[in-house]
Amino acid sequence: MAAPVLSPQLFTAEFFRNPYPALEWLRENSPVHEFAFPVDDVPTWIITRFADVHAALGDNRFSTSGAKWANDRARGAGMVFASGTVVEKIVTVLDPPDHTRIRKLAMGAFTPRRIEQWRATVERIVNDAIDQLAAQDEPDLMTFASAVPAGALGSLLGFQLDRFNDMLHAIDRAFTTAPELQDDRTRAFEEIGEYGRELIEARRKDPADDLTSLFIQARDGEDRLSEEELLSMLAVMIMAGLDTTRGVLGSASLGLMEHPDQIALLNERPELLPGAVEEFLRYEGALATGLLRFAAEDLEVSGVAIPKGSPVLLSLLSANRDPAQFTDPDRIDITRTGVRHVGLGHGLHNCLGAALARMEVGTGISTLFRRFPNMRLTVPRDEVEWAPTWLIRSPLRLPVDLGAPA
Amino acid sequence: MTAKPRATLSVDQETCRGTGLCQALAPRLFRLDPYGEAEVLRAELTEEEDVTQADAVMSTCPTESVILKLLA
Repeated sequence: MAAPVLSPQLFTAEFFRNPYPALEWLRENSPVHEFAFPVDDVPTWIITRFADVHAALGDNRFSTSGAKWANDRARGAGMVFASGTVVEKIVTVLDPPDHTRIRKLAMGAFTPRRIEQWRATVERIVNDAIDQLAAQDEPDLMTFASAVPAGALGSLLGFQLDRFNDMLHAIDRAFTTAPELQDDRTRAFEEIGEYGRELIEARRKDPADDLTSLFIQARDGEDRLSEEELLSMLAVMIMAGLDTTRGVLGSASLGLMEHPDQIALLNERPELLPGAVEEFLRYEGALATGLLRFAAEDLEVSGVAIPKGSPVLLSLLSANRDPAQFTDPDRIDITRTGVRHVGLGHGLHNCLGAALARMEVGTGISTLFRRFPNMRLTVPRDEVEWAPTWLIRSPLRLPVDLGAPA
Repeated sequence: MTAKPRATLSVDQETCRGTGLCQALAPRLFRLDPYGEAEVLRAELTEEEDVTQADAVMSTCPTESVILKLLA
């Protein structure tokens, strides 16, 4: 048993800058690791090996429903998702049967077949976002990475998401770990809910052929969604559809700039794109962990007991860099085949928007680097700022020199 | 005597991406094979409860890979 004193500090500035050494230490020394959550020192477990993370994601006894299963200490520390706010019942934190009833309503809009119909729209959005990037005096790649999901999600929902930057900021604020920021976390969830409410009101007055109207019909017509669930549906689209794709576009771009041979390879062999997208999702997905799980009963993982009600973090970043699962895991290799990663989660709550995410990342990255194959970062790698949250892995700014166009 | 099947159940392994939703939602009906792709544990469903479960999986599978055919 490793001495706890040697264990790395989680969720420090250093961890957010580069979590991989700490995660590697955990995989090797304490793969099911108890630590004190920064808020109120709540005993929390972080699981880091691929096999354990994959198994826990597929095991419903690790429930995302903190409202149902969290122990009192975790509740007191505000670890239950959006507790007490208007968006506390998003589908991601519901167990079946509510999970299933609500997921059904949205799933039809996000299947690969349905998403394929948005390809031309996504291509236009990507090209516009690249034009805007190219027009900047000091280009910040993250403006591109934010504009693509905002445009794509807006198209599906039927709105210009004018306030997407506010929403991205709210999401970053909602998952901080500083104890003094509890009120700000609650406020951030309320702001996301407020925006959802505005979009719903606008569409109730002026229905259209879009996803927002479809959800409103489900509420107003057949009464399958409560008003609270309707609002949560809009909120989950905003929360899950913006920062995630932003993160992958940013991380994949940064990773490619550090693996220029892979840029050349992708440009020479565009047929590698689908596999490359999987590799980007593996190499550095947008969620550092899944949403918090709570033990629905006393559990044991690889010999470590986790008492009922305990909060558990499943480290997707770590699982996807586990050398027991992936050869040379810290390298981007777009020719990997048969990669099964957990970048989009796994199990009951696996990413509903996966097909859209794959299209945005594939179109975004391939178009960007075809046009600017010589792009490079203009600040030292160590100075890249990352979202300071336990949940999200995303650069906040990536100052770049676009280089000579192709 | 065996009860009359109400439905047949299968997985399209061409489109399945092994998200594991089926196994998590209906472990009586699905599991992941050693390659991580879904397979059915029952190809013929005789109980109404199973049909309901299979229908829930069919309408939440992210790749539309679950094929449920109701029999007359």
